[in-house]
Amino acid sequence: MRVGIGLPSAIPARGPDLVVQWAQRAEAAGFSSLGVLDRVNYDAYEPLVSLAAAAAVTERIRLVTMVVIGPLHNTVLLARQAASLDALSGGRLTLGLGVGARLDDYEHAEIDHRGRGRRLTEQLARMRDHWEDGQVGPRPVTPGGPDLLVGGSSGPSLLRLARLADGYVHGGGPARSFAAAASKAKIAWEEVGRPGKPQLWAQAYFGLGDPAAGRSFLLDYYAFTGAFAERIAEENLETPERIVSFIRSYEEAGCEELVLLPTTADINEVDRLAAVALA
Amino acid sequence: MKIAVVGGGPAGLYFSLLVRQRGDHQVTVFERNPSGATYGWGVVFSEGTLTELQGADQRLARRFDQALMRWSTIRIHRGGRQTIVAGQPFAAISRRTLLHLLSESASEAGVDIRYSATFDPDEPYDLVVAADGVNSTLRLADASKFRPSEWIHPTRYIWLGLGRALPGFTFVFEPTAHGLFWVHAYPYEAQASTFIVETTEESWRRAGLDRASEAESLAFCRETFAGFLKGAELKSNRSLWLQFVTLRCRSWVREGGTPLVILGDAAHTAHFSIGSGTKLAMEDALVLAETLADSSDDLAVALTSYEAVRRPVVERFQEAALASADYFAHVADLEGLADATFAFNLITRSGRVNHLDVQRQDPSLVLATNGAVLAADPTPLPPALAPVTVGGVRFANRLVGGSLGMTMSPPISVIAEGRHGPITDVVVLTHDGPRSGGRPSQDGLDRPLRGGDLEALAASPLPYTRFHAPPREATEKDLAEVVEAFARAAKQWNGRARLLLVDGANGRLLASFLSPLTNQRTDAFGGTVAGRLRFPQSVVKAVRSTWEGALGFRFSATDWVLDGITLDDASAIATAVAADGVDLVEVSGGGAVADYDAPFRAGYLVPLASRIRNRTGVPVLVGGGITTIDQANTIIAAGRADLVRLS
Repeated sequence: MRVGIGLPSAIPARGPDLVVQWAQRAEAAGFSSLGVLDRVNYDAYEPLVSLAAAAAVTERIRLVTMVVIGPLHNTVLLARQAASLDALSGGRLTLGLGVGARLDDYEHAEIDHRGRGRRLTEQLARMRDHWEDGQVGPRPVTPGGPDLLVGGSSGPSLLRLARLADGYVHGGGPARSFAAAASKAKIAWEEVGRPGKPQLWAQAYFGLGDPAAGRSFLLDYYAFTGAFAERIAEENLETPERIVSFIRSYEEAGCEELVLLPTTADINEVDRLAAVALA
Repeated sequence: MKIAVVGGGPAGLYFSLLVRQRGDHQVTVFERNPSGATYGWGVVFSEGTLTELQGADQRLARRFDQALMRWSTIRIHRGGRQTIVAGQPFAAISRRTLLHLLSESASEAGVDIRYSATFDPDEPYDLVVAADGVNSTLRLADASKFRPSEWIHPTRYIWLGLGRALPGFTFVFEPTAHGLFWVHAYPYEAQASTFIVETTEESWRRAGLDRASEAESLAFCRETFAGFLKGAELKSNRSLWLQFVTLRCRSWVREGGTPLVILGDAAHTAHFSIGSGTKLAMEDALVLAETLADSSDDLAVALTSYEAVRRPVVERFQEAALASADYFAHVADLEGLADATFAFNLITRSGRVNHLDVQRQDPSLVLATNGAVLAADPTPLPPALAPVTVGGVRFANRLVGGSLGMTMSPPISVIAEGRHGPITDVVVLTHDGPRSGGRPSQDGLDRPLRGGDLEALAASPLPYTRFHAPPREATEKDLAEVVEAFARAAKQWNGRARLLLVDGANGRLLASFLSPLTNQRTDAFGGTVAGRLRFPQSVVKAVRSTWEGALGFRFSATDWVLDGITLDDASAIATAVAADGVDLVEVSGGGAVADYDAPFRAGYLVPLASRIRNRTGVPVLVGGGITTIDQANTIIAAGRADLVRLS
């Protein structure tokens, strides 16, 4: 299983230089990918712009969105942005897409919340068409365009994944819930007659240097979930033992790439995590 | 904290007791009925639940232990014969005794229990716990917060009491002139058993029970089960015919105002046939009392944790209970199964128990079941690995795929490439129909090329997705050519495959005729299922005339969409193609239209396969997320399918 690290692009305490420094440090430490979150109604950098900045100062590390809220975007423009980033980074983009969990993101973007699932399904198909046909530029470096990841475990979400995406990205939680979701993703994939297998990705939060600061970030970021934010904060990975155990449990559950997302804007978190997770 | 508990049933009383033991709270229980007034007869617990309850309160557990009736067998009565299944330890207690023990313990712990009392929502409390049952007035008053949904089960049942203790959990299946009636019964006191009679709505109406009084219903049950009762007394206690309601709520906690939490039947129900309603309610009570003690400084966190801990467990049981309820709703289809197979099917109905588990619980039943598959004496040979003959062709085992099973080709188009492909055990022949003209499937399904395939055919000119051009409505001449193409392709595979499957599934050409969603024709090839079958049947007949091996037909027994193919349609399809020379059907699902809602869990097609196999007698192949030989053995030993496709 590969291990990636998140960029601190959604942590309000970051300074403007932190994202590029973080990206360089993460590549040097040997992480497999850099992940970014998407949230409109929050003090967070735009995910594809953040990855573009990271791409400019790195050479090898994969760039992954976890996940961009697709229906908030015009499909052709999003396809162009993703193709541009794929080309500029030398084919390093993996594009995770979702419908998002918050109604207010849609309200701020002035996009209808209804029909978002159907729109995401159509976006997957249309973006692939654009990338293959090259009628709107540029052509991505990756043949056929960047790999597409989606989440969700309802019947329609799994069907969307199996028919039109390249892999499944899990939203967080214990390894057994990942395993259950991954099993359904594989079954849907086989049942619709798609050749091969879905890629399996997952994510979790960590905070080694200052767990208290990490927890208060999570409580703030997830305040819209009410008391559930407490549970998300409690699940934050705060010790080396917890991180190693967590990585093992996901590896055993069949995960192929786990991206650990930071909860503080301390650049030393990169090396702290590397010492534990990449040892 | 000042806590109001509304409802003095098992969940409310048990919670009150435990929460009092774990903190210095002022706990008041409001019970609408007077003390000692109870309905119902007995309550079932598994050994696992009893151990859990014991850990929570040793003294109560000892009182429980004195009052429990325990057993370790399931006894299945059909046609005057009895099959005994060993290794099934369970226990039951009378509901009256359970409530007495709980209220006694709660009172001793300092809980204020008020009978014939109504809860006043205007009185100030720190927490209100709604344990007021499936018709919870507190939940109903705040339905927009809890967002309940109800599924009303189609079968009818009545709770009766039997004046003697049965030797174990007992099922009785009794065919009558009106249809099949069956009993779920278990002992709960030295001289008493719960005796629940259930049947389908149709049989219930045919027997005139929709108009029957309590006395007439009791007399009907006494007479129907006279052979089993042998004079033992059957009693009613204001017993009525009911329909079970599975209740789910999107939320179990109301924040804002006085915090309100629902538990037990107020929050969720699970069909009685897995006997876990009271067990789930009491486990809810235990977890809520513990999260309140663990997070005593933050009530909102305690309530959220309670829901987070309990919801996945409850949902798992609800899923098993739905599978079990579904089994009984269609158990009449299984009347043709041998006794051992029927018993094995019954105990594996909820999907929680497999062949290897039964092997540990009751080895002799597994030997008999294995033998029944082969129509032979008891044998240790597991059924998935036993040889089988299909359409005169002998196969070494009953598996398709996996390292041991037969090899199977992907669907091969009879137009483009029908005569090509490497030698295989099972070859699948298809015509893409409305799904023609797509890009390579590894890059996503059903993305038409620019311009698409202008020659794509379908039953009706309905585009497969919003991006497809409408296909051409197939003319009789088109259809004759396709029939000819199938027959030609099939002939090419003689000697190069042993089983040929005609693909009537996955929204391709034949499927577009079978599904009412995609066949809107008004000619002889549309309309009723017989009309929709006409073209697929002509393909099958033509293939049968040129193909020398075993012949199969793959089709979707459901579209997973409202107004799609019905189970009656699916059974008619299996019967019709079998009459045309098909030796086996593969039961598939979905795909007639691009968007549908299928439960993609392991074995999700098995219930459909079982219905079709046991309704029509046509041999069935089933797949769908089945990965282990143990699962395959379970499916075949239970008579749900004849062959299994492994993933």
